[in-house]
Amino acid sequence: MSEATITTVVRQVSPTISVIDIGGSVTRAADQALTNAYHEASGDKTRAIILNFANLEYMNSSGIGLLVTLLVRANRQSQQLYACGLTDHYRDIFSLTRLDEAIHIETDEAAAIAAAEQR
Amino acid sequence: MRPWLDLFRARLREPADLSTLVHELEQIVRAVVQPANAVFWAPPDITQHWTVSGNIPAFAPEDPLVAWAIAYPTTRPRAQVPVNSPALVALDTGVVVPLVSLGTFVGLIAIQESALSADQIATLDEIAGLAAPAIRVARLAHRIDLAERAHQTTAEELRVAEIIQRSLLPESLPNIAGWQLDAWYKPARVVGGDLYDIIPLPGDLLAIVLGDASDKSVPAALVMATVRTLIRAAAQRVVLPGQVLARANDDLCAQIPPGMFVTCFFAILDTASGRFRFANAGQCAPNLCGPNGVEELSASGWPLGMLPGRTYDEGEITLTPGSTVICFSDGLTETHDPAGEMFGTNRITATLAEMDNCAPLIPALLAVQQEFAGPSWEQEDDVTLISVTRLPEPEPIQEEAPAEPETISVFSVPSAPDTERVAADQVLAAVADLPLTDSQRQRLFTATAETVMNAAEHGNHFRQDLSVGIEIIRQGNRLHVRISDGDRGGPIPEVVTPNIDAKLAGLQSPRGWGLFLIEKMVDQVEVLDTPTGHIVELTVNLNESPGAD
Repeated sequence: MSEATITTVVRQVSPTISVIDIGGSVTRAADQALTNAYHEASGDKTRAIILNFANLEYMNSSGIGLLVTLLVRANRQSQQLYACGLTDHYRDIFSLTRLDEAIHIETDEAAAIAAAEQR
Repeated sequence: MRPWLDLFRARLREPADLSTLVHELEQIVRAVVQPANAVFWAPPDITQHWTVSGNIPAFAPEDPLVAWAIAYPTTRPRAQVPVNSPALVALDTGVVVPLVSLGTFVGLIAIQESALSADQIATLDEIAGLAAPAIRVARLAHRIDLAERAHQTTAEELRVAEIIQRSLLPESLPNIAGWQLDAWYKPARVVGGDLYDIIPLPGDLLAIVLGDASDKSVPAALVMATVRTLIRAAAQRVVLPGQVLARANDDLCAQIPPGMFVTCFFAILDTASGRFRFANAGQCAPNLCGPNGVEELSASGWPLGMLPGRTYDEGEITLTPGSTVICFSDGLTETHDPAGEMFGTNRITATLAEMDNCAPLIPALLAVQQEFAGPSWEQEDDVTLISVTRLPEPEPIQEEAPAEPETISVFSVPSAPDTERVAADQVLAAVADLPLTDSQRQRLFTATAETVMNAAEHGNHFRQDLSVGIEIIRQGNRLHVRISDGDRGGPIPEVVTPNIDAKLAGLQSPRGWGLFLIEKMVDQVEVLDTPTGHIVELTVNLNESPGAD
């Protein structure tokens, strides 16, 4: 059985905003990849990091735990986390877990960038 | 003279009310002609501010002195005022100083001293020229102020009247098992002349009243307050609706102002049997929406308060389950459309005929009325509606024999990381034909994956010799997914509700979402500890009744 894999691509869309494109599976196996991507996305001037889940295939409770860890790091660095591209099911899970109170949810990347720029 | 005049001119540049202006005019006139007496003959709202001495004739706007002053607004000795004026005679004046502004007579100062110098006369003339427009404007402002205050008082009184009138309407309608009562009331003005009332009577009886006074606003509301009291009193003493109206009519005739009357529908409903007895004093005939369609409940009778000693016909129906009586005031039937056509009763009957008898009929009628009246409609009359529905009797609940459990699939997956997706995919494939929504399928996927992950990791500790068992069972309209491990080490710990705030504050581990998610994703979760391990049963309610597919 092959382990579920995550794919991450980091893009800087403005001096203060970075996007991490997250594809594949967000499970416990994604820990290192997600941590690396976060560090890459997080520069001195970065104020907002957008997690783009448009190509997400699967996320389990361990993956949610990883997002909480990212949130703790982002809070420490006074960065805002945004999420976009979530399906209704995962939006539902973000709502049930109240993750949506700590991560700003937007429908797509453009909306997330616009929201991040307004802050 | 000059300093007085300059002072007066300067004073006029500052805002001053009527009484201040007249007072200051008096001061300067007395200063100029001292010590002669000066009186002011003017409309009473102006002269009341003058400190008077001597006999001043009542102001008469038709006195020729007024017309003369408007024509010749200059200071003159009495001898040069050639009019036959009763006021002039009574004033016993030596010199007259008319105050006229823009053709309006503001007043006339009569100075008893006749030997004034030319300088004094010129100064008085100048004073009059300055004072007249100022007094005219101040008087106008004073009148506006009075009118505004009167308006405010009226508005406040109306507001109080509205509060009192609203307090006469039922605060809430009785909640009676098997019945649904609704009412709607909208006055055309702040205070209305319609009235409705629901009066609980001994036993299972309920009186229903809808009245409309012939006038509107406060007079109508006062009459309706009286009618309410009279009807309530009569309903306690006599039993039949016709008797109630007859008694209320006799009492009202003795109290109602001439020319006013009240139309009133009165009914007594027996909520145990559905018996509905009614009488009508000239109010719109209500409609019965029953098994035979829409019927008018007619009963004739004079409006209340016109003539004592009237009798009232009575009608009687039985409201069967699923029937409604709807009563309305003429504010509904007499709504006009922009072309002036009246709403009438036919539109009401047609609307009711198209509807389920137990549907909310009042909103439906109001919607049709609004559409008829158009967006620019200004309500002409109070509109009141009451609906009384006898609800359909609930169908007896049929006891169903529990359905036989049907095993859909049984399989197992190895205890390995990421094995949960394989298991969850397989469960979804097995239930593909069952009536589940997309959301239910995704939730079942997540719940299964989380449970399998727990079984493999925490139950079987990823041991290769232990697998995770999965059994899918349908029983009636419930789907059960049973997931078992080989852990004999004791019960599964209780779910600790994860708290995002505590996790962000570092007070809880970032992980620990699994059991919480499982409970949220399905309709029921049960955990069994067996001698061979744990069984977690996830239950989802299917969307169709058994046998429907």
